[in-house]
Amino acid sequence: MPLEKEQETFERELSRLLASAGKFVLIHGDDVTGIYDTYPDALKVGYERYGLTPFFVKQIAVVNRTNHFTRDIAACRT
Amino acid sequence: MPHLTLPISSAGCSLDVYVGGSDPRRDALRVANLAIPPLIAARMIIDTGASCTAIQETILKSLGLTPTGTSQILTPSSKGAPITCATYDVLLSVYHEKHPLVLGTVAVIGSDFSGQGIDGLIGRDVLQECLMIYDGTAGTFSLAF
Repeated sequence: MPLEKEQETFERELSRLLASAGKFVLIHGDDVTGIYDTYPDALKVGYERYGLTPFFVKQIAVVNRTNHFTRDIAACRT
Repeated sequence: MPHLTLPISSAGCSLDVYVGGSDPRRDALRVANLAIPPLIAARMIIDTGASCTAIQETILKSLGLTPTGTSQILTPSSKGAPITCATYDVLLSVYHEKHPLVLGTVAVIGSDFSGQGIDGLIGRDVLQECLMIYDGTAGTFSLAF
């Protein structure tokens, strides 16, 4: 499963991250690298620091945002 | 305001967009002296029932992209239980001969649209950058950006 470790890190650190709700966190493995105002800002640092190796960017939210599709798409599960 | 007016097809409001790695990814490839894959044309339909954009995952993989996030989605068959999906950071460009709409960093969901005659759905995350008019009586739709 891609980004499994990073997803676990996000969930483990979420209570601490919630102080920055609305911003975007950059995670690499077990490390929370930083928190950024925008999605492009977090990606930019991710690519600068980790190049083409996997990293994870996620918006911090009290309630995880869910995307809705009225069309039944075949979701590629992680 | 640049705009396109296109016919409404049997699939709906379909149009070609160009997909590539996001601006930050393209910068990283330049720094690493690696080739930047050319943009790939994708036949998309506009879906106002999609809160975000989804693209055929094989296109994303052929661009050498790997997931950089996850997103929870609800579909009619998920029966109220969100599914966690991989997201990819891409550049999306809607063709216009003089003023294309270029979104340099968009998070999209990878999905499988095989056999549907389309390569993906343009969701409301992209539509929020546009004005869309659906003219059913004329059989056309217009997109201004």
